[in-house]
Amino acid sequence: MSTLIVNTLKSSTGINTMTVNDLNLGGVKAWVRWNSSSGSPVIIDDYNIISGSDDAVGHVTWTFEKPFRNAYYTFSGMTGNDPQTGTTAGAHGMIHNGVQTASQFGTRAVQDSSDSSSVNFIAEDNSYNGCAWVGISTGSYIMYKST
Amino acid sequence: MSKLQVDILESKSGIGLTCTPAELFYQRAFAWAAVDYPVADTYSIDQSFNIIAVTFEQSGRVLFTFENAAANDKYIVLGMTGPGNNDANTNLVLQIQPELRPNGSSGLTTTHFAIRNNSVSTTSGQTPQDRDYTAVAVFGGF
Repeated sequence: MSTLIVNTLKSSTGINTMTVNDLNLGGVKAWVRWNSSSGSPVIIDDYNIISGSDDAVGHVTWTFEKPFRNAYYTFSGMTGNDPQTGTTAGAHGMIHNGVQTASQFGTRAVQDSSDSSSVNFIAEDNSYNGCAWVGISTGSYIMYKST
Repeated sequence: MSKLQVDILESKSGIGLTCTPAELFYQRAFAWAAVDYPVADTYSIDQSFNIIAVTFEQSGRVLFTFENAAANDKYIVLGMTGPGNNDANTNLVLQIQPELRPNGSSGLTTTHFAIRNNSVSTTSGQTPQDRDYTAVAVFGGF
């Protein structure tokens, strides 16, 4: 096991200087893509996700393999019909719903089912779903799960 | 060309977080882009990483092309859209989503992905519309 202890890292060209903390704090700490078209979340690929539990239509609770230091981290997500083969209809969005702790986070995929005169977002199980989280993680090594 | 191979990177101060090259690799964005809509039927890249082209395909329908292709099509696309500085339509819910391309071909491949800019209104429903501000980030695809 080799450990490099440094203050800053700099490219050989002299640009792109950064600290180890810059690298670590600036990185996305978890991401996941999944398919819920059958009703339950099926993970397509992920980083730092150990499981996703189906709590209700559109609603998944994610468990991080390596937890965050606390519950204060950011989240972004998108959802939609299958962009590779699916039809195009409606407006879709991914929101936070339910638990937010250092080790777990709840998401809910929704679709606007409105007609032309109203907006009504309801939960849905979509083919394409993607989320990412950024924050301060705890510090142990984690292996990437290549599938 | 110099190469340094290590298992762990650690701050010299002894505080803060250590990290591994593997963590850094999978934590980074594979690609990102901030684009605008300067003239009708045309998108342009304001700033990007690993996005070589952004193409108007249909109203609200935009194609992003990677400079270096992804190793697989399992990646995620995240993003936001908004009215920017030149758009008076500020009373709408504006969102983007991955989408099949208007010609019916895949909107998510190793070389490109397609999104739709949506306006959601309480009075006029959902409409694909072009926006002055659109930003996307891609994770995975390694």
